[in-house]
Amino acid sequence: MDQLLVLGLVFLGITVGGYVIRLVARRKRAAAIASLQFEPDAGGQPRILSFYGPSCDACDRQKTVLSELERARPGRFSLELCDATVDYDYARQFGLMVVPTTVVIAGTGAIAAINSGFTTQAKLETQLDTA
Amino acid sequence: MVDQNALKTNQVFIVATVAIAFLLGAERGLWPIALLAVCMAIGVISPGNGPIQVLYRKGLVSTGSVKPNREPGSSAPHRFAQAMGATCLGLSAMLLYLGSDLAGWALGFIVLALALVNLVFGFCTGCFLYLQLGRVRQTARA
Repeated sequence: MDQLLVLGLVFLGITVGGYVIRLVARRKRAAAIASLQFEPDAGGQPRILSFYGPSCDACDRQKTVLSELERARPGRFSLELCDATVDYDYARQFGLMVVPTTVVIAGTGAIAAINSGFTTQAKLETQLDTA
Repeated sequence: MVDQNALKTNQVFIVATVAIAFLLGAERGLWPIALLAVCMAIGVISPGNGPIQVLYRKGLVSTGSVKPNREPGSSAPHRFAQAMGATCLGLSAMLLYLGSDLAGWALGFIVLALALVNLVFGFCTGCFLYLQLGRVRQTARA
């Protein structure tokens, strides 16, 4: 009976504690992201900032998708690639937890979207259209 | 590609085994923990051929109970996390065998907690550590 109680308390503690930590982290991240503002693009074009890491298969696939996107929309957006393990402090500003992560920045300099993990070309196109 | 449902099955097995082992008590509970450590170690040494992965493929996927959910990503961080889990559970079983119940259960519960966090919140601590180690290695090389 004591063991069941300990087990129940452990499960409850982890679940409740996890939810609280996640809630606080999300709020902090949202506040940090809201405070980020980039220089507006001279031509009013959106930008994609892509974070990658070494030995990352998904990052290679993401780069292929971004290259295809550049071919499909020549001169309609600019692309910046960034190694998250080298520019770690820069990556941290975006609350980066995984690679690849892509950040879509509107022509005004405001962040339009942050995609954690591999993102499809279709999704990026939609985000660029609305940015 | 990483099958997210295979990872979740693995996590369910870890949480359930450690919980059952704890309910059985140190004397009898150390064997399920030792067995789980061996199963996980096999999965690390021979990816895809660990007993839990085989059970997932042949028992759950082939019967249609679970559908694979493959997402792009590297399997290396997950293997590292599994190696960490196998090591902790191996040590846990050893400590329980030697009579250090508190230390043994503490290690077992760390693995249970991390598997539960991954299962409920989708945060893989082992993968996070793997990426941090990669960053440290990269910085040291530069």
